[in-house]
Amino acid sequence: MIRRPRTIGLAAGVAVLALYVVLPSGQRSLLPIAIALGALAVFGWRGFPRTFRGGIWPVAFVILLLGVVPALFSIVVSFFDVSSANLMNGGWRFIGLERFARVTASPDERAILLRTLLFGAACVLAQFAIGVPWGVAIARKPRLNWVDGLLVLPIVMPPIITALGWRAAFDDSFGIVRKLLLALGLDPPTWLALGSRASAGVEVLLPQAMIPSIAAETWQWAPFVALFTALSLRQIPANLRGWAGTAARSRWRTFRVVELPLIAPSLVLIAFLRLLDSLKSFESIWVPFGNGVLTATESIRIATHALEIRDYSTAAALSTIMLAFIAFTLAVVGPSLVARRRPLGG
Amino acid sequence: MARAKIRRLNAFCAALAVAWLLPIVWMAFNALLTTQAFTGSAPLHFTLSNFEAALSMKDWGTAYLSSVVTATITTAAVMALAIPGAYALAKWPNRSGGAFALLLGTRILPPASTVVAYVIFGSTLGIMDTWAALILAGLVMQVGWVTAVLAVSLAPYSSALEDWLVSRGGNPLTAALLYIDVRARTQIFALSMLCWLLQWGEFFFATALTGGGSSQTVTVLVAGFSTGQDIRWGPMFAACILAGAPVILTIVFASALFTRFLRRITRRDRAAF
Repeated sequence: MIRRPRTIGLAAGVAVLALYVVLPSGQRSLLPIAIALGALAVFGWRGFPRTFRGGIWPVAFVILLLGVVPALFSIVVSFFDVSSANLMNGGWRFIGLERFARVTASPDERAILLRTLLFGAACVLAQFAIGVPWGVAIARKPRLNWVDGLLVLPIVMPPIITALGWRAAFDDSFGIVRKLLLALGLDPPTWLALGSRASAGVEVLLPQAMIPSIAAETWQWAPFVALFTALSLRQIPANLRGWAGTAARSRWRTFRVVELPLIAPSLVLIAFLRLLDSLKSFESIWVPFGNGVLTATESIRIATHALEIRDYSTAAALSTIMLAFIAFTLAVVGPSLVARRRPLGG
Repeated sequence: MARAKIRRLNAFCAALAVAWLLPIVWMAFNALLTTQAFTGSAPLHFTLSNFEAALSMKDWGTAYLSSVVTATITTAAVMALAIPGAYALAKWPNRSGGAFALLLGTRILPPASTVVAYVIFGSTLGIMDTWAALILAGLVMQVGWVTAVLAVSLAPYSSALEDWLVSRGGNPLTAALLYIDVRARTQIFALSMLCWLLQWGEFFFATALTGGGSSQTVTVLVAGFSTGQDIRWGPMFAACILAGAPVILTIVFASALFTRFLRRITRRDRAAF
């Protein structure tokens, strides 16, 4: 089909016309976007018969234009005074590092940054405490079956639904978690009331109120850790596993002495990626607590400044700090973790 | 391993998976009860009134249409870009893994770091509260990781297979397409589904770029049930089930496909890095 430009042109013209007719009037801005994406895709596919390498350029272009440029633009915005009042008229006053100074000087903001890190660490710990033993159990099976495919469900479940579900489960009046703990003779705190308190001491870095958010994140991502652990273990060559089983005599010893050291680099890499991913959690915190002072993390603060207060400069300064932290961590730690992850059995 | 032991292990893993999915069952169960029944102040009484209330409270038709259109177009665009990209990466692997890291990095980068720019660009271009804005935001979140995973699926590259396909009379493009089809058909199906489902559940950009306007997706609509002091729990549970239904049904009916995808990823993954 690529060899028939007239056919392609005709098909594209018909598609654009159909789109124009079908689209509601408010959505016609989709047309130029669809045409641009179509042209990019054709460019990528046309690279095939010639050099084949050309296929990667459209992907790189999209990431650069829609990912890198907006991120750089956010950094630029953090140096100007931009709010809803002057957003469209262009009268942006240069303020230099003022927003950065304000953000870093505030004890509240420092506590939020530290709490974000602790929240991420707590989520990763919980996910690995459950996911790794679960993955070991899955890996012991002779082959994966359809039940293992079901574990994808929590991972792709819309995070907003997961957050709403866990918010209900931890509800202070009818939540099932509270009922279970009461049935066990424990006295659970009123998590949601605690987390939504308007004023709170900044000394409380990771309050127990955040347990519903950590539970939601763990429910969503522990199956991912389990599947990853199982897939990593299954990559160990069968002859090596068989030899280790004979030499080590017990299953626990085989795992500890042979299997765990072999998959450890992969697990460390995935723990690192999960940590970075947990830092940007939004729904699991926003749904139960909104932008409460006691439970806010960096993502919540950025969203509050960008979407509610509409102080784009502060939002951009906060997002630049977060971006810098993640990029720095990725650049420094990432390559060594990838390098340590040697192929197994290869 | 003895057959009885395998059966026990399979049963244990199945029980664990089912137990893990119980929160969804709990939500569905509550959606079918009156508020008094699930708060324990009245005996169990099943009803569809929560679904009726949820459907009458919000504009589900436009939200569902918005979610379907944005998820479908984003997935189509992602796959149209990712397949040739992944093929190029597989054929000329980057020894340092830098390209993979960069592509996967797009998934790690926080949406919050770009949301300010998207809001400003969107307002300037007049595409706020449109499908176009949601598609562009979705595209950049999905295209990197899909390309990287697909490239892992196509590696290691077999020039012998492609030569054979060309020698069978195909031109280079046809041979490349056949090669992709042979090596990664399952992965393409599974990744398309995952991409669609992840885009369906996207919330952060959806709420930032539509603000609950006429282009809002189902996730933004469902979030509307939790705002305010007095949450109507019954309709909220029903709304969650209505919004999550495409995800639940897809995974339940396509779990065998995802299992095959996981098996193949394991095999290919050996040579990826």
